Amino acid sequence: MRINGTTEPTVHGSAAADVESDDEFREIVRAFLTRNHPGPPPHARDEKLEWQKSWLATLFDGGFAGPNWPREHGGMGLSFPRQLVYQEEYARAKVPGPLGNGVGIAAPTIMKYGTDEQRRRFLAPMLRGDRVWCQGFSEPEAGSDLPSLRTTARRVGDEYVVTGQKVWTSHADHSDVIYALVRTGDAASRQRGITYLVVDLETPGVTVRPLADLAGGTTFSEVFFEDVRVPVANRLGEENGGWRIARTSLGNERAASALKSSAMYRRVLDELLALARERGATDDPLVRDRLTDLEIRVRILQYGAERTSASIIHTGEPGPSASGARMQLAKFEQDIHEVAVDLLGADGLITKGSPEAVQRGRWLTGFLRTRASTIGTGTTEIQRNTLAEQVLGLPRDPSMPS
Amino acid sequence: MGLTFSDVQLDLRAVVRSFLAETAEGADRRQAMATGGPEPRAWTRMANELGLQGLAIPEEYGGSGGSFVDLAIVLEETGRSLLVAPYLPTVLAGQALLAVGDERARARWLPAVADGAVVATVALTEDSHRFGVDGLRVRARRAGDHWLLTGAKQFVIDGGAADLVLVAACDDTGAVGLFAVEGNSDGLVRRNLEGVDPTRRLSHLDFTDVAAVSVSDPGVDPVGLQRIVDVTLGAIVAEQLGGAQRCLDMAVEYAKTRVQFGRPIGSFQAVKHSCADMWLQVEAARSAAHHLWETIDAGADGDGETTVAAALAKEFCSRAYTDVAKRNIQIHGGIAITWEHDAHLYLKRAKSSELLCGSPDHHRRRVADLVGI
Repeated sequence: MRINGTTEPTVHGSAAADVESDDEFREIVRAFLTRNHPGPPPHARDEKLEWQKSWLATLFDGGFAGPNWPREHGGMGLSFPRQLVYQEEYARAKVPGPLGNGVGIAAPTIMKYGTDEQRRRFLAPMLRGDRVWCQGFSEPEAGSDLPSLRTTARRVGDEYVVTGQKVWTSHADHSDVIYALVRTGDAASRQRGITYLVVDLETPGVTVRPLADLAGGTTFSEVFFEDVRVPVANRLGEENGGWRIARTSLGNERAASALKSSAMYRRVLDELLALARERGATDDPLVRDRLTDLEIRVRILQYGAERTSASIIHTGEPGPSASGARMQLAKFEQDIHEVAVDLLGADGLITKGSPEAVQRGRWLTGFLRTRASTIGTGTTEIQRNTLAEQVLGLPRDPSMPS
Repeated sequence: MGLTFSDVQLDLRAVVRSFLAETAEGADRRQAMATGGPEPRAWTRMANELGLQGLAIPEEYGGSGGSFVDLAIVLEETGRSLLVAPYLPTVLAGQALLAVGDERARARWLPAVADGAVVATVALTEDSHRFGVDGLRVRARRAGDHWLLTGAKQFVIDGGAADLVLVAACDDTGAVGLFAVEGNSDGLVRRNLEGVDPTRRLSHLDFTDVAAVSVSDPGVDPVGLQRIVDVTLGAIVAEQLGGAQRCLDMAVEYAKTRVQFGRPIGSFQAVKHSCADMWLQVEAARSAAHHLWETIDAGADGDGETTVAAALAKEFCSRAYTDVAKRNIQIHGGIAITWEHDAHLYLKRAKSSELLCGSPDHHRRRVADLVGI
């Protein structure tokens, strides 16, 4: 709020969202992020987690959490253009993001299909970072064909008894809650027999076993359920109505995410270009050509994200430019890391533990980790099928189950 | 940032598409290919009924005062229809006069361009790989109140039919200017080329002391000359985008209707994936093209942003169009290897647009230089 021509120093986020000019809004967000910056991350894992949680609490208490969450659920309720300003400032400030993946994925379902009691119980602690949520969807036998999932939930009185296994559960090892799709229908019921349950990871019978990924880290886990008792009050929506509500999303978060990602990869490419110049790699015309290809592609990603934003602002809908964005980005992030490793030559093979590793092995680790970019949240094979069928109207494969 | 089209622009597109479908496709196109030009009444209708030649020419010269985006919309449609007519070079000549021309040149030539009375073109290219206003060899020397041009221009679009040829040439200090030459001038030899694209006429032009009027004196407006280059690329990518989208539409339509093994071939995953990849290419090309058109309309390019955007867009849209045109043929199978089917026309337009006005490699090198890689 402008008082006597100067910006009032401790503006709460809820008031910031109401200021008239975007420029003033930007200043207020920037001031808050700068003033409350948590400093550089600690190295030790446990300390880093505490550092992140402390930041998220500060953000929430200051009223600056949940830029695209409705105000009634503790967010800022920003317009799409203001969300973009917020994301720019957030990225510029280099402060940590949310923990877990509940904020973007489970929260919309809770807001739209949860009871008032569930919203009160779940949303604010999730946004504040007090309770970290992870997703339990995929199973060893149910990846692309998620409707075939087998983890069962038997109704007994006012509880469900859950038995089964989830896999690729990101963040499970430091989460408090898992939101899971489970089978309440018969074995052949596919989508029609799936229920959405929220399970406290401390519940007896739950075992979290971290999995080592190909880069040697533990970014995901297996989660085992052995006769785990879950109150019916933790069911979102109706019994057997879980599939339909699982993919609820908030407005245009995909578009905001595309803009964020393209801006981030602009920065990553700038870092690679600086590294390449430093090592004289740009003297090699072949290397230069590959870097130019990445330059062209990163700009096109940005232009595509701008088209999506313009479409949302003018029509409310993201338009076609949004549909391909994730696939284009996935390919880009794989390629940029591989181009980086290649231009380092054999030096690019040295892993992060070694003092000889270039930039702590970030490009090599990225090359390995980005194998998942074309697999997670829908393989590109499935995404191409979906694009062909839904955007281009091509006919379904008759041998695929519905 | 981010282009959205107004209702007026959407209507423009629909009207032009409908007109071209009625006059410029199928047998009409084959006829125009054989005779080397559009049916004269169609060209006149384009000017009189639709105002297409004068769309982006200011009203004071008899045009409609439209933006470059408006022109790009029309060029997408002419590209989509593979219009056989000197529309692209004529409107580019108009844009060149607006980029650098003095008032006299504009007043003299723009009204005739706008009302379709004159077929025009811009002669810039001098070799098969590069495209730009550096290192030109056609010489302009003063002769009283006019100039004499000597040298050779290559691959001039509709150079053979043009009434007005705008020629980029340099004086003996190497400073570049733009000159107007009448098509039937003494000393100008026009050799029509047999190019692979039967929908587009190309000529080599040989100048020996050809009389020319200066539109922009050598060295006076380098920014304006660069703008002509950038606007040319902006126009070509518009055609490429329209053609690429048409190839995608054709492939998808065929995949939905062609039945083999008892089902439409579009139900097979390999075909689906190819169509999805075509769509991704076209959407990325669209993003590059829209960004370029926006920067062109944003005005004079002091900071070089339009020049980078133009090189990038030409590089990407060229490769995308050729890729999509090839896939369209692949999805059609044998039928698309025939002369009778239209798929080869798109492939030929794609490949020639790719290599004219600077190959992708040329523009890639330019992007690297301009951006400082």
